Amino acid sequence: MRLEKISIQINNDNIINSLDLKINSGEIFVLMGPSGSGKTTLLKGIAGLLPFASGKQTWENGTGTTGLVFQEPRLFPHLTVVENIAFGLRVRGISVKERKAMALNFLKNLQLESLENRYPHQLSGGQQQRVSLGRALILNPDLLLLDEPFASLDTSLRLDLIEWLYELQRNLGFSILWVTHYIDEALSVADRIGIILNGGLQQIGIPSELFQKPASEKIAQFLSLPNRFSRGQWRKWFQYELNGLQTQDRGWIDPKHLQLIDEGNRSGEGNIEEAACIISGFVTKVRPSREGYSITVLADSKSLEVNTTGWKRVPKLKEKIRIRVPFEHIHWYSE
Amino acid sequence: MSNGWNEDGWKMWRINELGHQINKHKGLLGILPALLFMLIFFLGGSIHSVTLSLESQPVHGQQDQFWAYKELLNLSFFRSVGITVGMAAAVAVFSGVTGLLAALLLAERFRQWKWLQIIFQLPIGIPHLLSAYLLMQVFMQSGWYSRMAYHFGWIDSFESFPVLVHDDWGIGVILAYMWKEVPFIVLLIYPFIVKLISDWKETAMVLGGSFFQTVRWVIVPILLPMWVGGMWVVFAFTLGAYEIPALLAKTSFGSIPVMAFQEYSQFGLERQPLAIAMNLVLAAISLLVGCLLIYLQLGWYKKGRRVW
Amino acid sequence: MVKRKRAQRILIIIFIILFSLFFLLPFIPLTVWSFTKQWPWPLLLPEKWSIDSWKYLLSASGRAGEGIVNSLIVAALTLMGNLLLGIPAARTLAQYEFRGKMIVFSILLAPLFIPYTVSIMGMFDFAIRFDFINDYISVAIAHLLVTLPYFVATIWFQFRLIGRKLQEAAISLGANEWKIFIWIEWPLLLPSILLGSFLVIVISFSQYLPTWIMSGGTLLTIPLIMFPFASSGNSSIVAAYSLVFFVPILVLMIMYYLLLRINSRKHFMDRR
Repeated sequence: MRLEKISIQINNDNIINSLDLKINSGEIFVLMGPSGSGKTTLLKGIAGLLPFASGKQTWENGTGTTGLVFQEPRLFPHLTVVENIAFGLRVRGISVKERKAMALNFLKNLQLESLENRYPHQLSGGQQQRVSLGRALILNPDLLLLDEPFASLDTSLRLDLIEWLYELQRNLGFSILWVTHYIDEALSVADRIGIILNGGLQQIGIPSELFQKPASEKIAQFLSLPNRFSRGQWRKWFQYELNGLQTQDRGWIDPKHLQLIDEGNRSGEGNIEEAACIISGFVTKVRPSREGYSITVLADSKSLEVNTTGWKRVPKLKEKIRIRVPFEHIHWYSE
Repeated sequence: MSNGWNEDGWKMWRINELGHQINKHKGLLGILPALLFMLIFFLGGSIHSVTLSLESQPVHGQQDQFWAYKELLNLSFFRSVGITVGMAAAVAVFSGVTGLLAALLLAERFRQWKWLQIIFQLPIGIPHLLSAYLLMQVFMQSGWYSRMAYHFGWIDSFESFPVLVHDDWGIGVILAYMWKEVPFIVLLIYPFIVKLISDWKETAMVLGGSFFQTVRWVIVPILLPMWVGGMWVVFAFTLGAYEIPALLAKTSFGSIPVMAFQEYSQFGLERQPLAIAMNLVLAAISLLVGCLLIYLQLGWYKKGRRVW
Repeated sequence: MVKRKRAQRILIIIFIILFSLFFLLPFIPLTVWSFTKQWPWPLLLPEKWSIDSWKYLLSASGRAGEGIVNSLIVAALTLMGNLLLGIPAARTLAQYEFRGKMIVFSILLAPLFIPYTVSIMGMFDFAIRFDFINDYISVAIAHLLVTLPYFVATIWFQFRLIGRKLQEAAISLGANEWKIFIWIEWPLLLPSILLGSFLVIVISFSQYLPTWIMSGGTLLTIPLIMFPFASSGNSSIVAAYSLVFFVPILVLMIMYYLLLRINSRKHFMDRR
């Protein structure tokens, strides 16, 4: 499916502004963006719930259908599981018997066998959301639109359902436009990720690209990339002219690549390779993390995040500290 | 020593527990005045009425406790029951269906047209007595609509305008009731319809459903208990109301509230038990219909369906 | 397809127009009738106008003033009863779970679902046994019986919408029951209390049978004054009375909307 120069207005406000997007068949495209960026509006537009003010929508095979699943399951409270799943078939005028058989058959895919005669309020949250997905999927949509489908579920259930839906998608082969604000969710399913800010797609790419080369500071900020500083600041620390494109005027580095240098072990200092520098500062915050400690260090009135591995050496507050920054691990991007 | 301490603790705990119990049930006190009021006046009044209607009076020289009820055991009263109940049912169903239709249209098509909603709710403020009079002076053979029909050239004498007031079928009565009850149903279900549309329209549309299908398969089923409840209120009201049939039905129509009030107010104290007995029959019928509706709804819930 | 859609549209518009006319048109000849005594068929408007009916109405024998005063007194008493009994009852029903709740609720709403004439006849008999009870009060009690279900249902619904969350927040901030009601529930409740009160007054105004029975036909509220004219077919006078009747209702309606406006202006909560 392809969108060209799409704009959507609500109350004369441009929510989506001349947006281009192409989704390949069989692909999971994850759309991320802060709240208010127009994600839901875009989905509703594609699903036909909101009119396009301009632009056009085309499909590879001429026409295509979509299914939309909302954050809340929105199951019809007066209908059983089977009746809910068969609702779309009923709209298409398929006879009671036939649609019931189809729906019962489909329950297997949803891992909901034996729950067919339950009413929504008798199901758990995860089961409800599976019914909701099934209700859309049984219509064989060419493109499934998911609006933060698992956001209201707790973490472990969310991970299970993501895994389940991923398997289902790889088996059935439909394409998905998946809106989420969880980075881990995006990374675990996405073939490509798009970032939407202020009603326009700012960057599209495979997941690894996104982190290595965020297209702008705004995107880096949205992805909450740590230790982002301007080239000038880095230059001050490295104290020599840095390689690389000068247009890429910002760089970030992952906390786990920053190393604490032990004051007792000064021998390492002499070993500084060309592509690294040492920053000294003092500890302002210490938090335990999964692998060790997460430390905030104040150096030259800038805050740096540093991860240490191992639990033995506990950094103390206000302790003076030195950090080694390897140049090769800094990712450069433009403002 | 430690024992004494424990006992003190035990007492404290009991006092706390008592306070807790009082606190827990304090909120329930709020219901008492209203509940007592209804029990004393509604239930008590009814029971007192029944005892009044059973006061024996010498009829043809004989003491008979049940004379009022025996007097009702005749064909013409059964006919009246049929007519009164049938008319109430007709009013309830017509008003229910029209009210639903109007509420749906107002909610979906004309939500911005505030004045239209005011028009559709205007009759709520008009008493039944006035609605009867208002409709009488337009629907009579010499009424305003008949004059309009004459000016449009549809009729040339007022005899050729259809008889709608004091007619054989109670058409005027039904029209007057609908004038009052359609707005009541609209007032009752409109907010729910607005909410149901905003809740379910998108979901049904995403699955391909048209608005009509959404209404038939989603909105009406979810609304059903409330809608039927509203129709029951209309039914019960129409069953017991006096003003409209008194003004718009012909004398021999046989509306029980009219007959009962005549007995009550015009034929002296000794006929009052008869009036009470008549009204009691109506109350019993409404109660019976209500029990049936509640039974049906309970059956629904037993299957696990829950809507609100 | 397009044709069907257009036919549908036209049908809808006809339906809406017909119903609007059905509701509105009767008011026109009513107004006309109040200003004429003779209006022979088939004239659309009378040839001779007169204000005799209005003169009669405002004269001592017309009793319009007395009727309005009586109606207002009864309505005010009824409203007071509703506020006193209805608000706490609705609050309990909305916020507490207890055994037999459905039964209690059904009893409170019973007059909606079961014709109440029987109980009012019984109540009248009570009342004449305690004949020191004032007519106004006994009639107001009958009206309270009729109106309380509407009032409780309206307020109950609003209490349910408010929910207990704000209350819990207030408790956690140390407010007591009474303060919670005054500071939190009352302002949020006000629109529905206004609507409920409007309903109560309008319903109380329009009662004929309960008023007649409870007062033995002696307390002349407007419906009781009007009824004989209406059934004897004196169109002009009935029309004038009807218009008089609309005045308090219109005033109430305007007051309701104004109060609602003021209230919603005060609440930033509603405008998000």
